[in-house]
Amino acid sequence: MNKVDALNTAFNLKNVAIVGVAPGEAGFNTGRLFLSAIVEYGFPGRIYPVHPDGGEVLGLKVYPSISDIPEAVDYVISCIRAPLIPRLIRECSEARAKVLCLFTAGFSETGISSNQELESQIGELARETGVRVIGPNCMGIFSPRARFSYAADFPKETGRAGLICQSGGNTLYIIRAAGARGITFGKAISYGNGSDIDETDLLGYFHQDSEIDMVAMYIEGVRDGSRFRRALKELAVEKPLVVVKGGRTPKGVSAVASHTASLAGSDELWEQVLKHAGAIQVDTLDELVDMLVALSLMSPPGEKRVVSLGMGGGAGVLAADEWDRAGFAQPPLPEEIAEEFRTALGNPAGTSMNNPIDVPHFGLGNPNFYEALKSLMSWDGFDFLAFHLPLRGMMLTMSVGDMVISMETDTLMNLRQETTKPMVGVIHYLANAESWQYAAKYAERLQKAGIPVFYSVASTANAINRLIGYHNYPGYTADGSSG
Amino acid sequence: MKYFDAIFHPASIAIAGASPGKSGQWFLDSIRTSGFKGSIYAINSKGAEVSGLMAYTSIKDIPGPVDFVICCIPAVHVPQLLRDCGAKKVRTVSIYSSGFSEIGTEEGRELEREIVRIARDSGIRIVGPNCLGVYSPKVGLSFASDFPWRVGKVALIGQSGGNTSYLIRAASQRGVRFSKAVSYGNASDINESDLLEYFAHDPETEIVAAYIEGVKDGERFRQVLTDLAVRKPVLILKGGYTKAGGEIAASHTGSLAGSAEIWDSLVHQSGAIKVANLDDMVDLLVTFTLLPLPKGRRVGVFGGGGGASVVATDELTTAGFVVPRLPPELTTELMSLFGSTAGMIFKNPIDLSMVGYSQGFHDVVKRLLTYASGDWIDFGLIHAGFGQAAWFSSSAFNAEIDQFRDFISRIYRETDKPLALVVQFLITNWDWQKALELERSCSEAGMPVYHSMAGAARAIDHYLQYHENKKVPTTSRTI
Repeated sequence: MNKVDALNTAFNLKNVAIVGVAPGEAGFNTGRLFLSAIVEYGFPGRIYPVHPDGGEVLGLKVYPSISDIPEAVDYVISCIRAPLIPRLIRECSEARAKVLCLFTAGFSETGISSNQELESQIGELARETGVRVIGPNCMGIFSPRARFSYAADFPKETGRAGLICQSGGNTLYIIRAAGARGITFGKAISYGNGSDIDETDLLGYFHQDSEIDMVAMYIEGVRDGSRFRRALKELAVEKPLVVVKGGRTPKGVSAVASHTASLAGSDELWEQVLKHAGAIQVDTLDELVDMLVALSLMSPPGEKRVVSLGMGGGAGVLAADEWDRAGFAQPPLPEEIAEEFRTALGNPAGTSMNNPIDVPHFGLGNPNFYEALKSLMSWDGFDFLAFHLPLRGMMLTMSVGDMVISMETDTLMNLRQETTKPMVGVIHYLANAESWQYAAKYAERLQKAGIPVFYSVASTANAINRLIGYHNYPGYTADGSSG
Repeated sequence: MKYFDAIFHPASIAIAGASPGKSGQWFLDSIRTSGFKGSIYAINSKGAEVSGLMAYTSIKDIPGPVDFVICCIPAVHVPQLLRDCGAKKVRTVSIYSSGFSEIGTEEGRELEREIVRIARDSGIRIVGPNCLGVYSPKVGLSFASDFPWRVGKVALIGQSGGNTSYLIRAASQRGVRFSKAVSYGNASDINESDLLEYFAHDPETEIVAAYIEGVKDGERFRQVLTDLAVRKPVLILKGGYTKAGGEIAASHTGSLAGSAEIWDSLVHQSGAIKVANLDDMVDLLVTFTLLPLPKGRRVGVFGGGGGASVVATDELTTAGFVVPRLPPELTTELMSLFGSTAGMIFKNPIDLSMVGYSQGFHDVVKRLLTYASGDWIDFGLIHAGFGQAAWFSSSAFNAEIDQFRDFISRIYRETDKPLALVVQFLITNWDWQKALELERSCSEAGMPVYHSMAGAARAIDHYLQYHENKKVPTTSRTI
């Protein structure tokens, strides 16, 4: 089977086998953890636990080997030890199993030559038998459309983003963190050492995939530089591609070698390659998620003129500093609009009608204030509205807090309906458990209304800068054709 | 400077404008829940009962002496209140009311000048206006009921009430305790220099943090800051650092912000530590208060997953730290202990994913921290990424985190290498609740906790730099 067919089969799997599921309930067993997560997430296909002892686990029959399974298996997850893998591949081949995902670690990433040889042997066996291998040292595929996940808490919705990630832990974090921000994936893959299916294959696959509109990537190193560069560019001219490179410093490079045995390459080279391809390079996993949020939920503002509205004078001062540092203009409000806000709030004490507009929490519920907001949104002197929520622990009880949250988010949700101007929410200064509870409620309601939420002014400004940069990239045209 | 005694250790407090449902009631309730032992008086124009306390209609009706008044009445009525306070021989008034110079009108500025004149004539000192006032845990004086009552060694001055509140809450959550804090608003009378000068000589204060939007008297500020920085670490964050921020600072606290260049050179020359934002300030307070000074820049990182370890190494190296290779004997030892490195990394960072947070984790980390008297590293970071965990159910997760807490507390107690915890990759509200619980118990035991590897790296770098600079001989140093 070629790699594209293999990936199609894996992402649309009808059944799955997990090799190395210890029968019973006792002890730490990764195979059983995979199994229970797959069941709990709601996979509708047939599930075949495999273990030489047979028996039963979670009410499912355990098969002694892959060849005892009564049908050809689409996707096999291996949790057994590394030396047993060559034999497993042959068994898969005989049983006409199609794709093998190796959670199994202990290959080239250990730096031990016998393990490195074992890994090359696996790559060769995959090509020879046609049983395509994902990994080793990875979590494999996540496919919400097929209702297949190795983590029970992953979002159930099928989104339009794709994820290619060399680290399992980082995959888990990105999918969850994006999910909490309203971004869901259509397909995601943690591919580890990439001994058979590698980063370049995956770029090519997502490039062709009409169900994927944008791609996020965490990569530590590359097997074949020139092939990779080509695939990167082909994808990036058609779809936004956001990349975090892990192992940028010499020490990070050494950590990469023992994590996924990749050749990390120099930082400068990476920057050049990504820039040349038109990919969006970001520095951290959180910036990656921020970028997906900006790409999915925002249209790029025409220029960099922001009006901010928020609670707290000191928070407003620091916000103004951050916007300024990131190169955003903060035009003063026209006098008639400032006057409308002043009239709506009655008393200027403790508020400011400059930009940022400092408004008390209860201000947003005021119908006159809402009218002033509408006037503001129709003013053509700015490009987007940032709503700041410093939740440093308000002098409010939770019950009042809920009321305030509903009132404020209702106002913004209504405003969202009446304007095409981009709006963002910035939730920050979360001091304690109480402020996190507020934050979760605000974020959920704002995202539901299609208002993207970020967690600091600096990160918001950063993501919007990159969004603007991406849309101004000479290679990019709105219809997706290569420039 | 005797008036500071009335500010930080008043025997009696009156709250003007303590009406039910109004801001004055918040102040009243905060002081009462904070355990203030002296007399508390409520004042409102109707004499209405508030929080079960009978209110006076005027300060002049209060029978006993009043040291400290918190003023929450509309700005126009403040001059009369101050005259009454003068008649009552009140020593200090903290003015929460806003509507003075910060509104940018001539009336506002004149009103502020007027209250200062009245105060001078009556022998009263003013904190504010447009501020939250004083937090002095030693006497149970607080402007928020949830601030800790335990006393610490950090003094904080903040020109913004909101930013001051955030810093106190966020730092307290992570084990920092304060000697005193003042939100001082427009600084019409008592200003940043007065406060810094006081803290330079305050025996209860060892570290000073400041959020400042503008300075009243540049030359005096330079002298005070320099004198203070010679004696104690000073962490200083400038709000209104940029041109746009400076304009907002003017309408926030009526401050003249000054240029970024002048500010930078002033802070640099004084020996104070320049802080970039509020979250860095919290990280620095945690570091200066809780982390024993590492002897150098070699760090051991224990516990993150593979990808998290790669990213952490990049972040630490970028901040100038050295992540030394594990001594070969230790690698061999770990190999024979676990039989295989599959799914783990025994290099530094040490990825112990497959061990979990078990007794094995405790034993390995303890061994690494104490190996060869621990002289292969100068400090350790325990690395936990909640959102990176592959499999957990809610009950298993809670149990796992509780177990993790017990093991790291034991490691912390049983070793003497400087050690901190980095809990990052937090996503859900639930992650946060659990992480905050964990960090509360760690920080109460004295262990520094950070929310990101990058944040930890920046703060510890500043900390080391501060102490490296101190070694440079300065003739002006007096201690």
